[in-house]
Amino acid sequence: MKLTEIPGVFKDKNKIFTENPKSCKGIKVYNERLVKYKGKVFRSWNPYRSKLATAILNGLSIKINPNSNVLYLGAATGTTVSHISDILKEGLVYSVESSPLAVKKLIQVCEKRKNIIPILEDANHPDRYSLIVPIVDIVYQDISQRNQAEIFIENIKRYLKKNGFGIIMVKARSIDVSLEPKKAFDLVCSKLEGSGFKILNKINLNPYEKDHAAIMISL
Amino acid sequence: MYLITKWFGIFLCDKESIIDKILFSKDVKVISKKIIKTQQNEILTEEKKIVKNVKDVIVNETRLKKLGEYKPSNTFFKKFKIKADEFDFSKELLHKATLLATKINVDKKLESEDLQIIQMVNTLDDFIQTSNLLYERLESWSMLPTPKEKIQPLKNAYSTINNEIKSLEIQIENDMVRIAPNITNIIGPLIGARLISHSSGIIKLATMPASTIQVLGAEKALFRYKKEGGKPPKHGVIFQHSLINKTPKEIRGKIARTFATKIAIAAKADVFTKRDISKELKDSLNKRVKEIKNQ
Ligand SMILES: C[S@@+](CC[C@H](N)C(=O)[O-])C[C@H]1O[C@@H](n2cnc3c(N)ncnc32)[C@H](O)[C@@H]1O
Repeated sequence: MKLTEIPGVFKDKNKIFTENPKSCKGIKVYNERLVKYKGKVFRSWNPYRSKLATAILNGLSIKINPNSNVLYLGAATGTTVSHISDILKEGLVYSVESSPLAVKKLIQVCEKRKNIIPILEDANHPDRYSLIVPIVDIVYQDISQRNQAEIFIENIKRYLKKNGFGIIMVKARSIDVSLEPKKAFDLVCSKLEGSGFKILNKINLNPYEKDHAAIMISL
Repeated sequence: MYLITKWFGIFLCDKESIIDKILFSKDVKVISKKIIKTQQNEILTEEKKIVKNVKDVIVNETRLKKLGEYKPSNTFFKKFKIKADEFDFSKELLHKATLLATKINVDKKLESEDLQIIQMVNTLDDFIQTSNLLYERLESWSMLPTPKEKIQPLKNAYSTINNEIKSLEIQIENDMVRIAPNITNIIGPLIGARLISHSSGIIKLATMPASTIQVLGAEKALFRYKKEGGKPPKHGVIFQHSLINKTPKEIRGKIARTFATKIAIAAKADVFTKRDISKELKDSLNKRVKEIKNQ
């Protein structure tokens, strides 16, 4: 088990892991593997279940540290959120999700992990959570909606700090079924650039997720 | 003047500094209530109070449009940071308050989803009744030698309503599988939806004893029995299930009772634990039905 260049993310052979906090002893979030190593417990981070794991395995480098604050849009039941929670210590992950049933499960994850702030809201209306969410270091979005680029842009404008960065997971088919995936990604990139963002990286999520890409931006 | 509301208080600021503030009390319940109120688009009394007699207020939430000019992209809001820890509000407090607020919000949302199901299944039953009426009318009219075009409007109406019945059934099934997977698996989406309707909500259903669930929908018969005596009803809407209405009369009551017991457990799982236990429930239901039949 070795630390990767991303603080809090470990690697063993071809698999990546995050450290399970003491407060969650023996608790799995989504049936991931728990591995003991030198007195610590690590949770395997499954690329088939989490697009962020895929992006990291495919070479995406992210500047996250234990003090980062993260705004996470499309938190679902907390699969990826739980790994971000493992990475963070002082920082918080503000987790926005619009489906009440998904949030019901997310709440169970939050009970044990005090650095996850659950928010049942529609990310189309970022002003509805300005009471809770401060200016953050990272905005992460995984929402397969047709207007996902617009949602991302509005949230970045409002919440991303000057030298922070954003990651959007793009599903080509939800942008436009009739477009070739590459064209759909280009379309999203041009929208992001049109809003004045810099594209830092673009990573394909093959082979774990078909026709998906992770796009990383800064202001 | 900029009006900024955070989870720990309300702030009125000019270009450089905080001019006025109202901090909330450091209490989980109080703070979660404020959060819920704002999420319901309400203006807080503290917000009204702080802008009283203040001119040229600028806000960055649509919720606050009544109190000032809405300018979400004004750079001030991003530059001027008001931090919770500077006012001694901890992350633990934020966590507890948002957790409580979100729990309450989730329950409210889910509750309103079952209200939708109730409307849908009641509409479905109205449609079915109407369809039966139209069918009878069609039959009696068809007995007469009738020119096609005269009877056509009735035929159209009949076929339209039957198509609507089908699509409504699909919608109900989709929602039921999502909201009440265990109930749906035991008794089917339509009867399950009718049970929710008769108990006026899934949470109420989940707190009912099996004996009440067994006679849900037989309220009239139950009332008659209480008033006039005679035999108590053995089953309500669950009687619509073929495993109950196709079995001999002598054991129907017992089978209905078994179903009701399983539905009571299923509803509790759907509402409280949110675990899918339908397979175990169904297996034990089938086993018990077999036992009754072999007695
Ligand atoms: C692909 S899933 C996210 C999976 C999650 N990121 C993970 O890796 O664990 C997409 C989620 O976005 C949510 N979603 C869709 N539209 C949304 C919106 N407008 N606001 C917030 N969440 C939304 C869906 O309910 C769904 O749970």
